[in-house]
Amino acid sequence: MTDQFDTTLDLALERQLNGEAMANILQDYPDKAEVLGRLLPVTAVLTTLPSVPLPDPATRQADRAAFLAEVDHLPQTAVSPTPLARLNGWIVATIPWLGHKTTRRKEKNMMSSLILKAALALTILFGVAGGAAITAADSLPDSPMYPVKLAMEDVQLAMVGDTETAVSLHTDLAAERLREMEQLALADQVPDEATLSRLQYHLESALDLAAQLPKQTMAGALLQIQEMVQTRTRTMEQVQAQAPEPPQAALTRARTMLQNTGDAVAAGLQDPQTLRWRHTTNRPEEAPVQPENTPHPGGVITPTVTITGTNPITTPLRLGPCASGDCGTPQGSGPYGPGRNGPQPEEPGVGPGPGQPQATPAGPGPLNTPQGDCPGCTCPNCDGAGNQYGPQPDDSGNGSGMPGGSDSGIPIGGQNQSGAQYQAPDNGNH
Amino acid sequence: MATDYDAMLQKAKQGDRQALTAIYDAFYTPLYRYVYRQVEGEETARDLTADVFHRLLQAIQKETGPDQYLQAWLYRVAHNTIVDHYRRMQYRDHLPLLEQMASAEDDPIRLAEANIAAAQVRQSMRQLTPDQQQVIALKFFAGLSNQEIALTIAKPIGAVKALQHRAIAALQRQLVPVEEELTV
Repeated sequence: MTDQFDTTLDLALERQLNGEAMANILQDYPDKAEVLGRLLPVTAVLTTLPSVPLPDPATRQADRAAFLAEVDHLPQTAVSPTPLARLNGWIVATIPWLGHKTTRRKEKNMMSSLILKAALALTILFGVAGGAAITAADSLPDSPMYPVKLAMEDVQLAMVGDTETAVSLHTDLAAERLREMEQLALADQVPDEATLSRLQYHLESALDLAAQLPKQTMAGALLQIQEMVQTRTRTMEQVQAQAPEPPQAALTRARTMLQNTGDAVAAGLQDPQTLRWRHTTNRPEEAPVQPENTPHPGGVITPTVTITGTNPITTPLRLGPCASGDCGTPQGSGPYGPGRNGPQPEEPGVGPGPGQPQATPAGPGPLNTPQGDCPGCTCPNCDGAGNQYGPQPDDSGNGSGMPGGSDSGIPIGGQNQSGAQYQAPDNGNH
Repeated sequence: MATDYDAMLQKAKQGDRQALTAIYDAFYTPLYRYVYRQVEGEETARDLTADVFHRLLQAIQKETGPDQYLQAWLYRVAHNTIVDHYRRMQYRDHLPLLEQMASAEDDPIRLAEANIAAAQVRQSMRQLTPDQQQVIALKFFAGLSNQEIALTIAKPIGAVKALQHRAIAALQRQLVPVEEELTV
């Protein structure tokens, strides 16, 4: 309706501008005569304005002369236009509707120029950053770009959202440290201590985080670590065979770390609960570090004890009231030594002194405990899963009975108050 | 005609003095009238018209000028020049020049009425939107067709007609009462 009236008004205006009387025009549009009758007088006002007086000829001549003077100062354009102009002309000739836009560039140039500059600046910024990142990714510890690489890795670690990914990332980074060490070794350079430390950190972190995973995903994470360990161990062996002497020590240490990790992973695959216990916060803070070797299959502790004191112990210690009598797991097992019912020093001054290694099976903590290998044993803690805080000797008179002053739980040679020298058994963690 | 202008333009872009002179001669008067209707005073109209041609030379020099539709480009530049002029005027406080200098044979009363009417039109035009102003000025002051106006303001003809309708309706609310008062 409005469009139609726009056209009607336009036609009426054209007729009016051509000098036709308003009454004649309105006659032809009876249904719109009222509206047109109000609007058409406006055009009468516009068209009856006094004519525009042109400047006098002298002034016009002066203006023209000024323009021509400016034309004369116009630098001569090359016969062949610039490449930009030619491109523009080609675009206009080929795509006419683009030519219309080119006539409107004046207003658009300012903003598009700003956007272009900002885009260029961002491109350069990200290009430089990306280039540095790519360069740093292949750097070795002796490279100036190596700190950038480590920083990027730290950022990656900080941005990891879930534990499973973190395990994967730590595993990859451990492999990367090993690769770096191999490359350095082949170049007759000794990997530095910091690289070894970071390797240790990544291996431990991977293991700790894997231990926090639920059962369903823990196995997968452990297998991933195991695969990396096996692959890198093989590579490391080859590199060690080719590498010169100076880096051999560091490579051996790295292999040891790999070996220890591999052992822990294998144990974790067999017994996830124990791995979780060892590597998660469920473990009491004051708990001693557990020995890494597997328990004696029989659970029977046969320490070769050499006591230089007055009360030599020469018989294998059989701890706890095990009904069958061949249970190697003493009751009151726990990381802090035998329980109250466990083997107690017969008299003060006889047992291991404070900080002495309980040469006897000092209460099988979870890892001191023979796993499920207790034939005929009726003690409830034979599986070693419980009683981590087994009662301690309270009347030894010579110390707490803690298994070793080093808090290690590993029976090592020591001396009690009475000067008895204990000789740890060969597999002295039983 | 447009083709003639475009041919002149291509020569002018090569720095052809004759072509530039021809363009000046062809467009000076219509542009001057177009500008004169919308500003106050001959001097201002001359300055602004000269500015339009100056911008044409600058555009040719920078190779940012039109490739075709020279007339539309010139009127668009003229419109922008007028807008710039009024923008500058906002920050100046001065008395407007007389619309037309009286000559001996002019009737002073008729001349005064004409000046008042012209001033009233300009005043009313300033109340319109820029697009509406441009359509009215191009239609009634420059005498362009709807198609030429559409090219100049880069809008379809339907939009030109719609702008024209709304502009005339707005002017009617302002101009006609004045006209009635003048006749009374």
